[in-house]
Order: sequence, then structure tokens, then C-alpha cells
Amino acid sequence: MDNSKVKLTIDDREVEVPKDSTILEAALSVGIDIPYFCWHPNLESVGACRMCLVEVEKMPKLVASCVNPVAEGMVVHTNTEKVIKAREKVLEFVLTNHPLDCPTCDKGGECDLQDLTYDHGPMMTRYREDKVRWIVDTHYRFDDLQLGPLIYRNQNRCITCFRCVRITREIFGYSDLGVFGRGSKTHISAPGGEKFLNEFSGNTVEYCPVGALTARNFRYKIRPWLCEQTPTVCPMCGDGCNMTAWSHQRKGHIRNTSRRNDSIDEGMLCDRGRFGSVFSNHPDRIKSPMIKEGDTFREVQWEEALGFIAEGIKKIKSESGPEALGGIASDLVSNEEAYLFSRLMRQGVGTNNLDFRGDRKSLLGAGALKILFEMQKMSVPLEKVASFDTVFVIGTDIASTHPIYTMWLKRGIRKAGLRVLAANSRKLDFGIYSVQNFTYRPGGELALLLGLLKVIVKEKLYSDAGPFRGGQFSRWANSLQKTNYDTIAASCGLSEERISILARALAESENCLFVVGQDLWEGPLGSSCLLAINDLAVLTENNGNPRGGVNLLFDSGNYLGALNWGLTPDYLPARRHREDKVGREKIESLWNCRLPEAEGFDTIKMLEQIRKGNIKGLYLYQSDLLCDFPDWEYIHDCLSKLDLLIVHELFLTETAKMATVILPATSFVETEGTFTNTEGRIQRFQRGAAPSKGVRESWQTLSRLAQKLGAEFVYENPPEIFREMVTLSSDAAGLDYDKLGARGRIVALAERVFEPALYEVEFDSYTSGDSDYPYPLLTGDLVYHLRHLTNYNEDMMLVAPEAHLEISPEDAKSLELKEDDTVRVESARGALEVKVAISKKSPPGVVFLPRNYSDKNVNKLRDREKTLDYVRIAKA
Amino acid sequence: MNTMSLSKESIEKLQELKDKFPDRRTAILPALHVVYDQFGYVGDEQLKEAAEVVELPYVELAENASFYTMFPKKPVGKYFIQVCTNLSCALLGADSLVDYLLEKLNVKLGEITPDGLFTVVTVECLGSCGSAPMMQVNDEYHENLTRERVDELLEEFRREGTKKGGPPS
Repeated sequence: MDNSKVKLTIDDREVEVPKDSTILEAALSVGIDIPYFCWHPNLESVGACRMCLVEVEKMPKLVASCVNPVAEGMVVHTNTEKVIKAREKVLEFVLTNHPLDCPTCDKGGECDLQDLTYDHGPMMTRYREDKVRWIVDTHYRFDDLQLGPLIYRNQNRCITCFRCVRITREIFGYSDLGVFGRGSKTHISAPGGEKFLNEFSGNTVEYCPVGALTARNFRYKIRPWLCEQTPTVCPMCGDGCNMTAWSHQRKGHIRNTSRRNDSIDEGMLCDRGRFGSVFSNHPDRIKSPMIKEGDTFREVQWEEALGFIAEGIKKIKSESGPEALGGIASDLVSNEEAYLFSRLMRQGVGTNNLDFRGDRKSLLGAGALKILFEMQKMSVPLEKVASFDTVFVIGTDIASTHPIYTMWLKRGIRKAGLRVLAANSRKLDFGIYSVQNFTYRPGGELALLLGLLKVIVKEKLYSDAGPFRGGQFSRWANSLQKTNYDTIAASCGLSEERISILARALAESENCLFVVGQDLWEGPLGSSCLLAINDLAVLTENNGNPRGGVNLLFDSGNYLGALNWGLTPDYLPARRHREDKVGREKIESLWNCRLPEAEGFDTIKMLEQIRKGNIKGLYLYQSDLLCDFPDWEYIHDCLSKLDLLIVHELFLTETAKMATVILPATSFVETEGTFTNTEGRIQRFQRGAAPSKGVRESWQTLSRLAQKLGAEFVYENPPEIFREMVTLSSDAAGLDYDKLGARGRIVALAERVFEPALYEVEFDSYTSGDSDYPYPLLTGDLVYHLRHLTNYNEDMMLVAPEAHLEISPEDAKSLELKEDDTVRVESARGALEVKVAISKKSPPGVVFLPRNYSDKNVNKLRDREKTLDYVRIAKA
Repeated sequence: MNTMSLSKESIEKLQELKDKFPDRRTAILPALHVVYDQFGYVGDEQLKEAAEVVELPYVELAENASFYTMFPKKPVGKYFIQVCTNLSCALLGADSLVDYLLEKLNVKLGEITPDGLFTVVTVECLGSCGSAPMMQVNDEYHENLTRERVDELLEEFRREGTKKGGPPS
């Protein structure tokens, strides 16, 4: 890239900027304000609006500063009489057909057209003709056309800057919005009468400079200036995009807008985050502590509920010991709450039975987690992702699980010729941006990884460097010979030739990033897959130093935070292992207690103990175990066996309905704290709305309960918790809560540097079928949903209201099914009737059912003892 | 084969266009012509099909088609009558000519006559101002129009159209 700079003069100021800048960028970089509508820093310039005209000496006419590049010695004036007059004329022109319906326009108060006309515009219009009016035949008010479920268009107000279309197409690669017609008949619309609906649609509303596009959740609800704005962080996936939460004193949290963080989101949000995280005012929110009496719940005072819980815990403890109690939190609670919950369970209750994972059949144990922590040393920050020449995405439909991460990949494809190779059981679709798919059979992930290693060794596609010589290396290489290609091909469904193509692409790329989905590393073969990925990165010398990298994806808002701050049985806060004497003593002296010695159980083992009657009391902190656990019958049975089930939740979930006692929790907008995103970046979110009357912030509840259990910990506020917990980690120790800054901080929390090592991996797969139930059933989150949480959000339930079984066009044909036909999906465990969606993402013979719907809970079909669930499908 | 689908020849032409230009989007206009030449209009379904062949987003073809009034978006009669109503033609009575045509054919603007022969639309300047008023029928210009001349032309078209079963182009 050309890094040379040029000097020019703007408004008598000498400016030095990179050679490829435009005049507008040069001016903005030194704080000289040039007004614009159509330009946007993330988009290519088009020069559509003409608002940014400036005068350049020696140029005969005014030029649009957003499309004109700078040149050495250029002299620019942005404020001459000629420019001022031109702006006035441009605005007069823009306003000829604009309805000037500001009093009833939703954009009022945050409208670029309003603001720029105020600053630069003519005081009067000379236009006396009829304005072009777009009358829309709809029951809705005014001339608003519903483009899609969430977005409305009022064409009268549009100034044809095309930002919406360019954002949709350039940044996100979707083609469901277009500019049609010409002249005064130019309009924005979805092509061919289709719906404008993609997971980034909300951005078009935010970046519309006028009120032409408005979002369902905010239109005609409230004036923006009546809302309070608070910086927050989105918890809806692991990317951790920065948002501004808008809340109104009476109406509470009402919407989110982006809060540009160039290291993460570049000012863009996905709809799941922007719209889907507005759930704090849902009528199902729990507003008071409740104790179960017979079949109903009785609302009680806080002290009564906490006293009841403390008595219950003490009783079980004295009768059966602290091992008869356990706690499961969620991966959506803040770092501070995670730390506090860990402290409550370990110190207050006295058990290591602690976890935060409740939606998997298999969980990584302490040994595998250690490898995972080690591999995190190879990770690279999000903002660097687009600069690789190859990215290998494995084991995730990343476009659904990490929309903004996907935005960076698309940017790499568009701007830097990035090649995305994807291996997954379902195909990845990046819209107009291309992805090379290598679809493996469910259960064949490790087979594919071993196949890749075999090819690289066989074809000697690795360097001749030191580590890849000698006896140790040959021993490792020989270990690969144990598995032959036939076995591999049979397990993963990809031929040796296909595997070779992929292996060569990985080995021969200049700089390759491995992006590893949570479904892979937390799947049934998770720990072996981690080793194999590690080997691939080391063998191809893409282990992050100096090139390549491995990014392990964490799918939910604070998975990594929960892991870091002590919510697994073996790792205490700050990743201190239970048996690490130094760390243990440090925590004991900080907490002023003795930590429990006994080995703790993770979620799956806790459930086994509950079933056996050994665990009698369970504290579920924002964990909707009944909905999420992949075996409904089993979890229902387990939870009914408990003597004491404490549910500390936002909503009256199915799980909460089974509780002995319910405590209300606070959502991320009602409290403050920090989240850790998939990069390991700690970011601060602030309190945006007061909790409902009578609801205590969760950290207060946890502290108060601990006090009732005799653990004297008292905190004033979440920052104090943060200050205490960071002292436990040498990496995080220097962090100042107040100085986390606009971009947050990446903290690795690992004590050692990464030492490249090759591990021997045992072959394993789980692909066997069953003639009665021929279709392997995959499940996961839709791009619009996060587990069951988004069931409490109107927008997301409008966009994706019901479960659809996604099947391939081939299977649809052989089963004679059409889109939206109702089918009966049956496993050995149970049956569900759902509609069919024909999806090119599904490979033939594999079906997908989202796990997001309480009424059609996929977990009713799943069996915890089977690594892969199989179903049969019949037309209902 | 569905008569609404692209013919083999059209598909071949489109495939040729696909990689003909350094920027694939250059193929959009020629692709629209291929569709228009086969069907006499460029409808959503045809554009979707063509978009798949040239491997461009359908929306880009649709946008471009919408920009050009010369591409009809739905089926038209065998004789597609485009009357200029721009300045010179307007001064010399284009509006009353349009009214006359519509009355005589008993259709509204843009509709097809029941016999499938005619569609009348108004268009912007076709660059024949010296011989106004004028209209373009399919690919031919008819200039210095009077009501009598229009009568003659319609008579001629009707004869030819019913006889040969296709427009003379």
C-alpha cells in the first residue's frame, strides 16, 4: 500500500494526509466541517447529494469534496461566498419535493437534513409547484410503506443519497434493497415485490440522513430528545458491539443505536443486537421475589425470600453437606456478576459445583480448558481479520452466530481479496460475497481435520524448520498413519481429493487465520478438535507469531467472562486452577475464607447427581435450563427431583415456573459492569434504565444472600467488584474501571507465552445413522434469535415467529415437500409438528431445527446420551 | 419447456456476456437487451433467470431496467406504440394524438388490446423533433403524424399482425 503523504491547504490551514484521501476526508481529519448527506466513512464515495461542494483554486467549478482526491499543493476553500451560496442552492433543490413534515416525522431532532438546513439552508423556498407525493395504499398512517417486518419507508422524505442501498450491498453483501426509477421518480424499494429483510437491516435506518426509513420499534413512539442515552455493550453474541441504549423515564429501554468502536463494529449493529436486546419491558418480567405455595407463587418481600433461601441452603448443608448444592449461571451475566456468583457458591455455600453452560451434551473439562486457554494465545483482534489473505472458518455458521465478525470477513473479501474457506455441516452464505464451502457430514469434523493434517504431511506442505524435523516430529507424523483416507472419507463425506484441495489452500496461503466455531470446540469431539486445530496452525506456521492466528469463537455475550471469572468447577476467578496453591491462597486471603476442597461437578455431572438424589438444592442464575438443555425429558425429571430450586431470572421462564423460590434479576441495561467479548476484550456498559420498582440489582441480591449465609462480603457498586477481582490476575491487575475507554481492553488472562507444540490426536467420529431415523438433526441459533431470550422481544418474534425445519432442495423434492408445508419431525424421544423451509444452506440428508422456540422446543427430540440426534420426517 | 423461460439461444448469449467485460456489471445493459429481444419486455421472472446466468444480483438488473422507460416491464402488444410527448411533439398535438389512439384502440395507456396487437405508451424525446409529432412502433419511427396517417398505419399493422402472426421487425 502506498503510505506517502501529500500536503495541501484547506481554509488557510496546512494539512498533511495520506495520498489516497479525498478532500472531505482531509478536511474532517483536521476538524474542518464540510456538510454531507451521502458520504459515509464505511462506504465508497458516490457524490450523489452534492452537499459537500468546495472551491478549489485553479479548478473552474466547485467540486464535490467526497469524490475528489487530494493533490500536492492543492488550495481548498470550504467557506467562500460561492460555496455558501451553492450549499443553499443544493438544499433548496433537495427540498423541492421534500414534504417538510418535520412535526410528524420520526427523524425530527436527529435528522441530518433538518440540521444542515438549519445551518446552511435557505430560509424560504421559491418552489410553488405540487410536490411529488408517493401515496402508499396501506392502512398505516401517512405514506409509509412497509419494506420488511422491521423497516418502513416514506419515499416523500427520501433525498436519494442511496446510503441504505450501499450499506446493504457493499458492507453486508445483500441485494434485497435497490434504487429504482429515475429523476423525481427515483425510489428505494425491495426488488420484485419481495421483503427487505436481512440481519443488518436496522443500519439503514440509523444511517438514513432523513426520515425516509424508520424502524418499527421506535417509530411514532417517542421523541428522541425525550430519551436518555447511555453507553452500553451488546450481550447478544460474542462480538461485543458497542451500543447506545435509549431509554425514557416512563417507557424504559426503548431502542439501541450504534456507538462506533473501530476495533469491533465500525458503527454497525446486527438486528439481533439492535432490536433483539430490547426486552427489559416485557410483561413477563419478574418484578418481585416469589415463593412457591402449592401450585402458585406468592409474592414476598426481599428479606423473606432471601431468608427462605438461606434457610433452605443451610438445611441441605447440615443434612447432606455442601456438595448437595450446586449453582448454574449463564453466559450472559456480567464479569462482576460471574465473579460474585462464583464467590457466593464457593464461599457462601461452600461448594465447587458450579457452571454456566447449560445447552450442550458435552462440556470441556479442566484439561481441555487449559488447552483452550493456551490456544487463545494465538488469537488476533477483530480489526485485523480483514487483512489476512485466507480465513478458514470451521464448525460454525458464522453469519448466524457472529454477524459483525462476518462483516469484517466480507470487508476483507471486498477490499483485500480475502479468500474465505468454510468447513461446516451446513453451508455458509455471505450474500454476494463468495465463500468456498467444504461441507462435512455431521460428526465428521475431526475426520476432516485429521485428513487435512495427513495431506499436509504426505505432500510435505510444511516448512523445513527445526520443529518439523527429528524423532519427535516423525513420531507425531506416524501417529497420523493410524487412520486411513477411506475411514476419513467415510466419516466426513469429503473425498481425499476435496480434502487435498482444502489442505493445499491452507498450507500455501501467505497468512491464514483459523476461525473455530463454538459448535466445534464445545462439540462432542471438542477437545480432540482443539488439538487438531492447534496442530494445523503450528504445522502450517500460522500460529499467530509472526503470521496467521487462531480465533476461537465464543457465541454469547459473556461466555469468556464467565469462564475467566470462576464459573467452572475447576477454575477459580482469574483462571486460577482449584489446585494451584498460589492462586488459591491469594483468593482465600482476599475473600478471608477457606475455599472448598472437594472436586466440583459441571452442569452435566450435577444433573446426574441430582438424578441420583445426591444434589438436593440448585441455584439457577439466569439459566433457562429447562428450555436449553438438550434433553427435555431428562432435565424436566431432574429439576422435579430437587428439594430447593432457586431461580434468579429476568422472565418467568419455563424453568422459573418449576422453582421453589424466584428472585428477579436485572438486565444489562438496568445495571452496570463489564462484558468480555470473543477477543477477550473487557468493555464497560453503564446503567441505562432504572429497574422496575422493587427489583434489586443482581449484584446486590448476590451480596445480600452471601451475607445471610455468613460470608461477609459487602460491595458498594459493580466498579468496586471489578477493582477487587482484577487484583487476582497479573494481566488484568492494572485495569482501571474508569479508564477502560471507548474501545475497551483486550486482556488475555493467560500467564505463559504460547509454545508451539504438536499433539497426537486420536481419531473419532459419531456419524452412524439409523434406518428408522435417517436424518441427522442439527440445531443452533437463528441469526435473529439467541436461545430463548429473544422470545421476549417483539421485533425478533415478528421477523422469525416460528420454528421451521430447514431441509435441502433435494430432500424437499424426494419427500415431495413445498415451502411452509407442515411436517412431523420424529425422533426416538418425541415428535414436533413444524413448517418446512427449503434452504440451500442445508446439505442433502441433513436437517436443521432452530433451538429458539419454547412452543416447538427442539430439545424434546434430543437425547443426551446420543452424540447426534436422528429424526424422520413425514408430511403431517 | 415453459414459454416464460429463457431460450437456449438467450442463455448462450448471456453466458457469453458474463465474462466479456473486466467489470461484470458492464454486462447488465446487454443482458437486458437479450431478455427484451426474446420476450419483448423485461419482467421480474425473466430478470431473475437472467441474473442467475450472468451471475449478478437480480436487484442490479431490475434497477437498471427500471431506469430505462424503453424497456417495458410487462408484456405488451405485438405493436408497441411509443408516442413522444416531449416539447416539439407536444406543441404539434401529441396529447390529442395519444387520446385519439387510445380511443380508437379502446385501451388505456400501457394496456394490451384484447386481440393482443397493440399497446400505447408515452415516452420522452426520441430525437425526431423536426418531424413532430411522431411515434416509435417497435423499432421503427413514424413521423409527421396526422390522424389519417395513424388510421392508415393501424390498418396496416392489423392486417400484417393477424396474417403473419408476428411483428415486422
